[in-house]
Parts: sequence; structure tokens; C-alpha cells
Amino acid sequence: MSLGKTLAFHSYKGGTGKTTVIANLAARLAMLGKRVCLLDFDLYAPSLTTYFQKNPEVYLNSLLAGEAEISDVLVDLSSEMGLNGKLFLAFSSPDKECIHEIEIRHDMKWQYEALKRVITAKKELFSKYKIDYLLIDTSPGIRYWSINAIAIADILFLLMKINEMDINGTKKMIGEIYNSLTKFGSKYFLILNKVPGASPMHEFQNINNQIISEIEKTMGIKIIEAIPCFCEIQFSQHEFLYTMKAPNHAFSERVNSIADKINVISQTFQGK
Amino acid sequence: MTKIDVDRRKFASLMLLIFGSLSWFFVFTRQMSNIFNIITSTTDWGNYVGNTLFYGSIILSALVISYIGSRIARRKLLFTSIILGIFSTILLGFLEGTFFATILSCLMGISLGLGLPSSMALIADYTSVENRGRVSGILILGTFITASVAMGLDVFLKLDTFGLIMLLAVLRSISIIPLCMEKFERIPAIPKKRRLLSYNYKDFIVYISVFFLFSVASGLAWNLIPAKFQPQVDMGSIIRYALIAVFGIVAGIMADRVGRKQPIIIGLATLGVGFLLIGFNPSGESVLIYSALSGITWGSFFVVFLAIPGDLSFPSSREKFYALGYILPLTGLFIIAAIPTVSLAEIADPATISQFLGFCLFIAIYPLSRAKETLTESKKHEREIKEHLEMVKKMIQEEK
Repeated sequence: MSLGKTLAFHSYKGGTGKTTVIANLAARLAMLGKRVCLLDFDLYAPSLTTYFQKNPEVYLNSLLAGEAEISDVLVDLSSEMGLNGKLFLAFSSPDKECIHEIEIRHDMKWQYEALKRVITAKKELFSKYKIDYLLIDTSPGIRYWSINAIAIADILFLLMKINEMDINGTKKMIGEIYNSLTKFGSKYFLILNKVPGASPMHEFQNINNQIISEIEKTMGIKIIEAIPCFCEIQFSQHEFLYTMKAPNHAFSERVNSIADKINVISQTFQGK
Repeated sequence: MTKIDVDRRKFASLMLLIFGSLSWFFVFTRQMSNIFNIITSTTDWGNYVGNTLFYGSIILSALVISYIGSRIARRKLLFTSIILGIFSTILLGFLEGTFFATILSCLMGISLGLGLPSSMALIADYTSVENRGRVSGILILGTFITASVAMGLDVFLKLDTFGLIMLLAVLRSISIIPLCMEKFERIPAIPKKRRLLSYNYKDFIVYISVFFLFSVASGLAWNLIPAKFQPQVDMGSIIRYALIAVFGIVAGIMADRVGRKQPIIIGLATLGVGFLLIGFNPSGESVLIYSALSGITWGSFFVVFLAIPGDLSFPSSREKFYALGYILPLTGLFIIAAIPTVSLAEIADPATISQFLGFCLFIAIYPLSRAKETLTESKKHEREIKEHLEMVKKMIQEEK
């Protein structure tokens, strides 16, 4: 039986930098020798195909529809990226029709069947592929497939920018969704992203500590990292994998720190 | 379905308030002509004058309340109307003659016209749009169960007129209990933009026109049934009451799931089938089937139109919307059905009349298609998401 963990990354609204963080984190964990799988469950606005410049033959959408198995949709990027461990990716289709199909498929029966297929695929990833970390990029907000993705996760990371709308929205989601799912044993943590005041870094650190304690108090959740806002990352096109391309960059350091904390959290989790 | 999120104490007080008044209304209107004929020692005073005075008083007092209701303290209004209703009902058992019957029929009508809009306004105050349909359904179910129990007691205990009047007084007294439970304070009115109010008025008028067309057609249809089928009409009314209760709940659930318009459309279509039956094949069986179909329709309409004024009104206009949008069409329906006029079946071909009545229902579809659905798409989506979350939780629980 694999001891792998499923980690979902979610946010109240788009633009929190969720995909950038999760892609870098997946790469970092794989660099550390872990067997990682990243699933693009941002089905309503997929972006991993653009990030990784890949055009797979089979998408996650086919798995949901029961037309493909998990082995058909996985793309192995380990050797291409020169990683110590393994990195598998499953992309969702950026095709307009596929997105529309997902938008309109609200019938319970289909949703039930599709979620069952995802759960089966998850089991296969842990048993057959011996995955250590299954990372799930979710759609922002409260939507069918964000709920599904959150529900199958063992640990949930909520990405949030520090503004009133994000704070209030995240609070609402905690009340309406996360709390009801933690009854089944999952845990959730906050990651602050695009925190203003990145330069100079030591000043950021001072502000950061204050912000973290205030927000932790307001939200009632532990913040595991606060990532400053970096313009070069915001406006970069394809050079997004900073953990690989610029491992000494402040952003990469933060991602590395998250990766370390994830290892600790997962071990604690397993202990329980 | 998601849970009905209403404070239990408030819900109970609302139930008792509505059960007492509405069940009294339904039981009393069934026996009103007889009671008035007995206390006036006439054969038809109750049929014509009593009915007219009673329903006329409801309409007039409801119209007055629609204008001044929001300015009067709700608790005082409810207390006055309920006490007036209880005492006028009790006095009916002790006073005789045309003079007293005239006064009492007016007082009983006024007590309803004054109190019902405020009682119904509480439905809107205590519920949100996504559970108002179901709460209305429960209220109608409870009302008709209470009314049926009272009618059953009347039959099984073989009550005389005095006994029946005392039973009615007990029914009316149910509404006094909630006054000991709740303060019934008004929600402070928030000033709304005139344009927003006018949009709601437009939709409100559109919905009322549908209810009026239904009331006219449904009321007139009873005159289409030849007098020889009176036993079937009497038996059918029991079936109708039972189906109003059951389909009230069904319509309430539908109203909260798919919207308010769907149960109205189903109701209109069902009644149309009923008109076809009694128009083209008037027989004992068709009268019974018609009674059942009208029960389904009335159940849908009673419930949906109990929710719609609440959906469209603001705290400051609740009484007005319920007085004009519920009490008046409902009273109109009962007037047309209750006051005996020339039987339509005797003056024209029943098939032709049923076609005309069916046409009235068909016409009602037009304003309905123009009306805004008061259960918005976002509310429906919110409910679907909640249900989805429950399904997912169940699945994950099974998985673990």
C-alpha cells in the first residue's frame, strides 16, 4: 500500500498564482527525488498546456468521460526535465468545446460517474505508479470540479492574495466547503502569494511576520508560507519554472520552503 | 434538497398563525350559507347577502390594509384581527336575525382582511427565496389537514350549528397562541431605489393577472357542472382538499428547485384537462376527476402565490403585495364559486364554455412568459452546488 498523499491547491478567485506555485512545487519535489504527479483540474480555464508547451493526445477530459484510462493521459516529463525523481503530468483540454462541455455537465449521474473514475485513477496512481505526491491544480471558486478536486485531497492548500475580497471569499469557502470536508480527515493550510513589498527582502520579512500572525488570527488557519510579489514572474511567458531555471531566486527559495514543509506535514499526517 | 433554514420558534408561530386563520376560512366558507340561513331563518340570505357581505368585507379591509398596513404595528394589527375573528365567530352562536348576521358577516370578513396580509407578510420576513416555496407548501398542507380534521369532527360528532360555530371559534383561537410566542416586530425598511421598486411592481402585476385569470376560469367552471351532480361535487371537494394539501407540498418543492413558473404552468395545463373533461363529457365520474385535477391546480397556485408576493416585496411593501396579490384573487375565486348564479350549463353548450375557460387559461400563459422568475439562476446554482457537495461527501465517506 502506497503512503502517497494527495495535495490540492485552491483559491477563492483566479489570479492568485496557483498554477505557477503548483508547477514549481511539482518540479521541486521531483528534483528532490520524489515521484510526483500533477493533475490539471482547472477544467474551466486550463493553463498547464501553455505553461509546459505540451499538446498531449489524450486529456483528463477523456478520463472523466470514461473514454480513457489514467495511463493514457499521463505525460512523463522526468527525463526531458532532467529530474532525480519522476514527474507525470495530466493536462486538461484547452479546447473551447471541451470547456463548454464541462461547464454544462451538471447532471448528478455524470458527475458521480466522473468522480468515481477520478477516485479509481487516484488509487491506480498510488498503487501502480507509486506516486509520493499527487498534486491537483483546481479551478478557483466554488464550482463542481473544484469541489470534487478538494474532496479527494488529503491536504488542501489555499492560495490567497492579501486583499479584502480574497480574505472574505476564502473565509466563506472555509465555512461552506472546507470545514465540512475536514470531517473526513483532510487538513488545510494557507499560502499567501503576491504579497506586496518584495524589495528589500529583509523589510518584507518584518512586514510579513506581522501580516501572517494577523491573518492567521482572522482566518483561524495556519499559514505555511508567504510569497512576495515578483514582477519578473508575473510577466514571464515560458520561463515560469524558476525552481529549475533560477534555483537561487527568492521565489524558488519560498517554493523550496513549501516543499520542505509539505514533507514534514505529510509525515505528521501519516503518523496519525 | 437542502435544509429549510428557518428559526424553529418563528416557524412554529408562523404555522399556528396561518393554520388558525386559513383553516377557519376554508371550513367556514363551506358552511357559511347554511349557518347564515339558519340564524336568519331564511332559505337564501346566506347564499347571496351573507356571502357578498363576508367576501366584500375581506376585499375592502384588505384594500385598506394594502395602503395603511405598513404604518400600523404588526402585533397590534394581528391581535385586533384575531380577537375580532374569535368574538364575531362566538357571537354567531348566540345572536339571531338578519341585523346581527349582517354585522357579524362583515366583522368576520374584516378580521380576515385585516389580519391575513400581515400573517402572510411574516412568511416573507422569516424565509429566504430558496426555501419560501417549501415553507408555503408546509403551511398549505397544515392548513388543509387542520381544516380536514375540523370537517371530520363536524361529520363524526354530528355537530349542530352551535357546535360547529364553537368548533370554528376554537380553530380561529389557534392564531392567538403565536402572539404569546413572538413579538412580530417589523423588519426596518431600507429605502430602495424607485426604479427597482417599479420593476418589482411590474412583475407583481403580471403574476396577479395570471392568478386572476385562473380564479375567474376556475370559479366559473363550478357553474358549468349541472346541479344533478351535486353529490359528486360534495364528495369531490373532500378529494380536492386532500390533493390541495399533497400537491401544495409538491408545488413547494418544485418552486424551490426549478422555479415558481413551472408549477404554475403545470397547474394551468392540469386545469385545462379538467375543463375538457367536464365540458365534453359531464358525468359523475368526470366531476370527481375534475375535482381531483382542480385540487392539484389549487394546491400549486395556493403555494406558489404564497411565495411570489414575498419574493417580490420589500419589508415596507409586504402587506400590500399579499393583500393585492393573494387575498384579492383568492377571495375572487371563492366569490365566483360560492355565490349561486344561473348555471352556465343551462344557458350555453358546456363544450363551448369549457373551450372559453380553457382559452382563459391559455391566455394566462402570455403574462406568465413575460414575468421574471423570482427564484434566480444564481440561487438555483447555489442549491445545486450544495447538493453536489453532499453527494461528494457521501462518496468520499464511502471511499474511506
